[in-house]
Amino acid sequence: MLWRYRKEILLLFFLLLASLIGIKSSNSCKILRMKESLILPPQEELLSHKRIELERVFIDELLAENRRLREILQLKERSPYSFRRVSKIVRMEPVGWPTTVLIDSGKVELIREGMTVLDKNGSLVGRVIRVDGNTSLVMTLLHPESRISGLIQRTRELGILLGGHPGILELKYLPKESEIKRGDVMLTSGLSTLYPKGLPIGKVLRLRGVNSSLFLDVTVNPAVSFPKLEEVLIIQ
Amino acid sequence: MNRVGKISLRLPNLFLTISFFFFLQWVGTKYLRINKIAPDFILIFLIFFSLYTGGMFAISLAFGAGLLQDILFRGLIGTNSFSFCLISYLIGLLKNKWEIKESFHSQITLVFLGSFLYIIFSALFYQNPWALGLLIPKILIFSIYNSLLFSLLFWGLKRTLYG
Repeated sequence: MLWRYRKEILLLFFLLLASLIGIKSSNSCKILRMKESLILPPQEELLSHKRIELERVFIDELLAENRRLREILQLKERSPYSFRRVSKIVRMEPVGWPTTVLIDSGKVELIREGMTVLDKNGSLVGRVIRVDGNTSLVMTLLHPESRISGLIQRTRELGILLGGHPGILELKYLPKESEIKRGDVMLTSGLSTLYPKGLPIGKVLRLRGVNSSLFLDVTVNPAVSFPKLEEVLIIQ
Repeated sequence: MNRVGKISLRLPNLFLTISFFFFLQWVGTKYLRINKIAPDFILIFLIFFSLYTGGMFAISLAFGAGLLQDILFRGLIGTNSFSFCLISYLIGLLKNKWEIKESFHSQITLVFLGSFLYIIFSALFYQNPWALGLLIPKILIFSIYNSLLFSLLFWGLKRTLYG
């Protein structure tokens, strides 16, 4: 009786065996890869996965760029300054805090020395110090030669912000009697020809009075996150 | 020794032919793709073998060849064994009911249907039948491609295996 159905029994045995092997191997092999594994050869399948991953990274990158540019556009719309151009940073010191950055706009884009450079939030990055054909060099706030006339937004007191320190600015010539507090916002004063008035520079991080000095020793944290800087705005 | 009708199988040639078809499969996946669709030479061979030899031997060979194909070509192991066994069995059934061997056109139609069923069985094995809708245009190309190659390889296969 059973011998009559030997083919069917053998078939069932093989199907069961194939299913068991399949279940075991599917733990390491995603079921939903059906399309590729049926039609594409294995190498093509692997390449396809890698390509998809790369494309996803590329798309994520584009989305992030799009988001940043939108933020810049919003800033452009609400800001009173005359914008010259949005530029990408093409070179920056890979280690430590950048004192200069190279941007992808130059003489061709009508960039001139002395133009002010902001980040996507409108905070001060620095100013253009050298212009070439298609690139320009920007001196950041952290450069040892950077001197900015600053204004404390709350108390309206003036001081000079100096670069040259890793990641922070030093606020000079603020009298001991000053009402400055930790967290006070520093803006550009507009008293020099270098920067327009009212650009955010940073917040007061630390203040210390030295007995022998007439001035407070103040440290300011820049509003710009220099390591994350990718695009900048150039204003006239 | 398997004997189907008056045709007898040349067993030593069988292993050489299988090896050659595995080589063809490797070449096919690399160089014979049309719109990213590679033909399945092992499937073509097994359909032919099930048609002319059939029985338990063909089912066992289908299982073994499928397993080997899964391992060599890095598919989900078990898929080809599962599909090939079923196709081999179904062709064995059809072979006994109709005289397909008499008509070359029927054999090509059978390869077309076998290729179509192969994808459906594989989809069942993957527990992913919804993907069939997406794959239908490709299944058609795959089946036509296999049928064309079968028509090219048919006489060679018949001569090598059955004299």
